[in-house]
Amino acid sequence: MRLLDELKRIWRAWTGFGGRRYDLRRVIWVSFTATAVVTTLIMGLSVYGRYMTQTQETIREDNQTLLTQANYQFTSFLRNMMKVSDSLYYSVIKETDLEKSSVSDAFRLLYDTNKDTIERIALFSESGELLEVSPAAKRKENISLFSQNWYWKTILEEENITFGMPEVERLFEGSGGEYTRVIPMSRVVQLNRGDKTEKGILLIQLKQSSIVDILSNILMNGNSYLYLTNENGELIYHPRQELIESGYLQEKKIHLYKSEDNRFSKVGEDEEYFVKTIGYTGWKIVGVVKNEEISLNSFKSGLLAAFLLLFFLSVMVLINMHLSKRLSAPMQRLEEAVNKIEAGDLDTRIEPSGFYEVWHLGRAISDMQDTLKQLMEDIVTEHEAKRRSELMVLQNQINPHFLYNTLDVIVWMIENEKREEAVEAVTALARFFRISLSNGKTIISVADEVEHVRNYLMIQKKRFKNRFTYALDVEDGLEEYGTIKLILQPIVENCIYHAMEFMDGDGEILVAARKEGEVILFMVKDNGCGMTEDIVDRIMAGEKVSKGKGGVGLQNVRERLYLVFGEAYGMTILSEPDEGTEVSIRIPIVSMEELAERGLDRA
Amino acid sequence: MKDKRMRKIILVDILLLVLLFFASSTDLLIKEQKVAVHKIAVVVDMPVKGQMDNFRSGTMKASAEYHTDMNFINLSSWDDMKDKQAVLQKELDNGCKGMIIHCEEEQVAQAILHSIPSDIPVLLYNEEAEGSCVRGRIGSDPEEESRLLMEAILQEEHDVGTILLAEPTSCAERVLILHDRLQEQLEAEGLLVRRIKVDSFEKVQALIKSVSALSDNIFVSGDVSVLQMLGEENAVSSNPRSVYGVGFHADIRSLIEAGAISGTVVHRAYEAGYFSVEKMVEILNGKNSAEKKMTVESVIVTQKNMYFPEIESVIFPYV
Repeated sequence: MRLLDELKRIWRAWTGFGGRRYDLRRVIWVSFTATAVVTTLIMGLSVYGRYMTQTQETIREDNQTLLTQANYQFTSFLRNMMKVSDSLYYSVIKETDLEKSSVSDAFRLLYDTNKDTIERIALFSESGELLEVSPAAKRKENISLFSQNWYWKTILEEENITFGMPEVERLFEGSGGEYTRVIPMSRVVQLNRGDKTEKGILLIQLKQSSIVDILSNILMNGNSYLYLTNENGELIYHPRQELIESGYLQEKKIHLYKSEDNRFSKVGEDEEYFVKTIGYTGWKIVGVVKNEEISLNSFKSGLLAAFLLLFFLSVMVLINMHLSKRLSAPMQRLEEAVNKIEAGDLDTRIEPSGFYEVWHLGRAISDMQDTLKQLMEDIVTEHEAKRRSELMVLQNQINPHFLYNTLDVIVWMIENEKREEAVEAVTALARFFRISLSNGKTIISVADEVEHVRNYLMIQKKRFKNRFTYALDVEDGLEEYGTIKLILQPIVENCIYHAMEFMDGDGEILVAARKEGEVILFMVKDNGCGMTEDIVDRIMAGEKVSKGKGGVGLQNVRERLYLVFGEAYGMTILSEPDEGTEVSIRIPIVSMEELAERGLDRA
Repeated sequence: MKDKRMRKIILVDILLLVLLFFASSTDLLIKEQKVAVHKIAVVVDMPVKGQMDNFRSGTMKASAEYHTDMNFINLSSWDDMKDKQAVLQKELDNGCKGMIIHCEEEQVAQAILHSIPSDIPVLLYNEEAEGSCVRGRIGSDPEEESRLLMEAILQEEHDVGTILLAEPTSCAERVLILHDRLQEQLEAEGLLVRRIKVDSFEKVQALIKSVSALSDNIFVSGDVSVLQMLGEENAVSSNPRSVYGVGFHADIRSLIEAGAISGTVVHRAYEAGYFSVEKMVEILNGKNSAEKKMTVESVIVTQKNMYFPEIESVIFPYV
């Protein structure tokens, strides 16, 4: 049942009507093998059937030929004997006057000529008197001619030559006490005695051994045999006649003598018979052919058939396996490559191979893979360009107002002849812009970043006429690490413009930098007006806050930190209204070279 | 995993193919059923010519049908027992695998049996001898023979006088058994029975002459030699008596035809020969090896019925 279900599933998979999905190799293998098995079985059975029929027909024809041959030989034998009888009667007895001459010479001559087949030739008068016998023998006195069955048959069928049943020769004294079985052939003859004619009996005793020799030399196959009966079904010859006569064996097919001539007919399951009638006598030769001998169903033949079947099936299965493997291998390789591509490995190499369709499919997938790869690279490049562009935009947002206001302050200083302060401011501005530009680099050292905010604070302090004081506290050893530029200046700017807006000389700004574990912590602290929690949340969520509340610079810094360092780092704000604000920035401790390797120096 | 399984399947397939090839196309695993040709010997010790003809014909027919290599040996050609045993030993040395034995004298049969190794199966034909190698017996039934004789005697047209049971001085056990039974049966019918010993033709002649004067005596002998002597003397006697006996050969046939012997009980010797070989082949093929006694049918043959078909086939079998 499991096999049947499996075959059904394969059939459904093969025909595309659902079921479990089988791989191509198995479907090809099963389909080819099933086709080969069915074809082999049909061909094998057809050939076997044809061979069996042909063999049976050949054996049947052989047996028919043998029986025809037996019939021919037997008929020839009887005809020869009848010719001897005719010769004796018409050429000897009829021509001889028994009162004047004897027939003994002619009898002896014919006996000598045919002594292999004739036991004795005798001539009797109608009264049973022995007139002539050859070879010479003494008549048994106590055996009467009239007690012999053949005698009365001869008398009744006066015109014919009659054949009696085989019997032990009993009319004459034998030699050496041996007995002979004979078949009496007799006829009524006209005896000439002077002017008178009278009836007589011509007896020719045929040796039964002659008949046995003819029939036993017909070699039937195996257990097949033939037997001879008279017209009444009494056995004349049978290979086991003695055992049948004694009742130890039975010939169950004795009735077959009545069957139609010259035709093979079935008798029982495994036997056929063939009947031939012997001319003139009405005797029948019956051949019984055992079909078991023409069957190839012997155990070893069965094993040979099983061997041949298994051999051909094994060869076909192996060929099919090889064929299915060769046909499906390119498809399997293609499938494996597609699976890898599906998993994201776009560098997987597809080698188009196999027959045309698979080769073409491989090439198409390979081309698709190249296109996909190119598209993905384009997307990455485009994304990078977009990011860089956004960064530039953000950085550019910083500069215009500051430059205008600073220059305004310097103009004021020059007008009021504060030359030294103007020089200081211009110098600080120059340094400020030098670091701002940094040859277009995005990454600068912590030292430059701190220097940059220092210049900015100096300029702003001059501008806002000492509205606030500031301090810078940078831990030693951090100077050479890298950072994205302009992250402190916007926060400090926010402190000055928003937190210190209403301060009057008592504003304080602290800018600090120190190492904390694996990060650099920048801190900008003021004692300004502070922010509500709501405004802090909105700044951190990237929402716009209302004009005058600040936040644009802080958002700018937060987004840039996110773009460069990711979510693990960034900015936090602690603020309390009327108390002040503390902004902390965490960046990884990395060298400038490392940041340059990441390609961020060009951002 | 899959490859390993496939390799196992292919290996099993190849082994199966090799096995089937050897089983179907060679004789290494399954031997072709060839006809076993057994070498057997039929050993008789019967001096009377023609006495074993029918038995011999039966053995030859069965030998041809069952494909045996059979030797028919008549030990009566050798007088000395040692010579007889030497002939037997020669036969055994030549590879004889089984023997069918029938001897006129029981002592000879016993001596022969002693010289045969117990692993050589022996079938005895009309013998009462014993031996460790004996696997079966075949022959006529003395009970049936005595019954047939008695019935024939009782059908005598004239008044039956004394029944004279003639037996040789050294009489076979089988003949004695037959005579004992016959005597019992005849006496039970109220007939007078006398047992007489005859050891020569002269004694038989004297016996016939001495009893000729006494009318209505009937001679009976279970011994075929004595029967022949009685018949021959009766044939030339001026006052022939009724003579009955057991056994048949060509001379007995002539004596029956001549009326010198009134009747003789004959068993189917041809069938006995045939079945003894058949049984021996069965034993040698390892089948039906239990010791078994088989009997064959007997008939009474008289001058009147000897050419009746049912009698004719007993005394003149188809060969």
